[in-house]
Amino acid sequence: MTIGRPTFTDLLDWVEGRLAPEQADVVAAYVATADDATMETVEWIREFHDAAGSMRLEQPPADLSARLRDVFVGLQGPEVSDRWSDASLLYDTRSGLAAAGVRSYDGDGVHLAFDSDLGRFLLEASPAGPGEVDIQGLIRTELIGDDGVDLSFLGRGTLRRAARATADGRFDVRGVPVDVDELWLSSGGTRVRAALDLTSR
Amino acid sequence: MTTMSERPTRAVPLRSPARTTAPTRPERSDATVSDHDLLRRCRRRDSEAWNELVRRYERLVYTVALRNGLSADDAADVTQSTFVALVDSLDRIRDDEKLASWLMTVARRQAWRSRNLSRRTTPLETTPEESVDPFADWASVAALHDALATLGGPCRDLLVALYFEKEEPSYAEIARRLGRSIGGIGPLRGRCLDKLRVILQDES
Repeated sequence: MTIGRPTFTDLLDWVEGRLAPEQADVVAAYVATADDATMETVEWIREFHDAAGSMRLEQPPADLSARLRDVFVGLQGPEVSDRWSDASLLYDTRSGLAAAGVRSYDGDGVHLAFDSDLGRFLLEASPAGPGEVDIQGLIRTELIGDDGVDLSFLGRGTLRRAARATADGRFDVRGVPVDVDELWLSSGGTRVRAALDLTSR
Repeated sequence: MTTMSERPTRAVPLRSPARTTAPTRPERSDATVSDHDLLRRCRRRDSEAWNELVRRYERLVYTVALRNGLSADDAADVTQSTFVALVDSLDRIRDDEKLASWLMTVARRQAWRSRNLSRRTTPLETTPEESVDPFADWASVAALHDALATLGGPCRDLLVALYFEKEEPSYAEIARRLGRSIGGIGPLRGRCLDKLRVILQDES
């Protein structure tokens, strides 16, 4: 270490107790009588320690890391694999064939219900900005398990929006382009594709 | 002298002392890709860039979720939701250099939503009282992580390992990870921390 004005690293070593006793005494003596800049450097180092120590980083489980890496490819271009299937449309309020208890078509939104290998899911799209809709939906959760469900809204094969359903199966995506024509739901290795038409007819 | 806890919520976490000889802003290591570059590559559907973003930030996001009172399972779910939100927002993020604080904010919001959902399904008698916000210095910590991202390179990895990892790895372990000699770790950490201070000073 230097004799005279301590360097930043000298001060850091001193604050962290990494100096030999005689060196620490030299720095301590300098700090005790030193200029404002040195004092502020010491103060800054202590504040940094406090801030860093206030949120030590936890290591996530290894399987989560793998899932997070898979999310990108899975959402961008869901692959047609052995464990994918098409969802079947149960009703579309625009067609006038709504099931009992379902809102009738009010000309101002789209209400769809599907059945699929991941269970039934509902989807309601209401007009938002020009060329956009807000989508709210609900997936029956009993078939989902712990994996949760990731959703990809695609238009002509390109990802337009993505979301993850909450633990109770709800999803809410704002400002979805109305020309989205495909929805993929992914849970674990299971994927379901639903053809969408969100335009007001 | 102002302490961190006295600061308002503005994201200026660590005051930098006046300098008589202000160093130039540190250059990013050529060997390390910036968050901005990674995001740009992700927008071109580069999954390798995505994997690097996950490596950099999965611990931060997971920790934010845990610190908001979630179980390990719920924190994992919130972490995944946050990264799905990142995919969703790739073309709408306003400031690529603030990715760390963006992820922290989204994770925090998702954690609140998860906690509220849990409360709706938990018997009233077992619902805990509103917990104290664990991030009294939220803005400071978020700005610190943004500054670490700006710092980038081996310096970022070194400071994260030394000061942020809960396991507190030894100098030997850190030297092995960074491919450096143990004797070089101490001086390097001083230089890196000084650079971080300059970045925070510039941004404040």
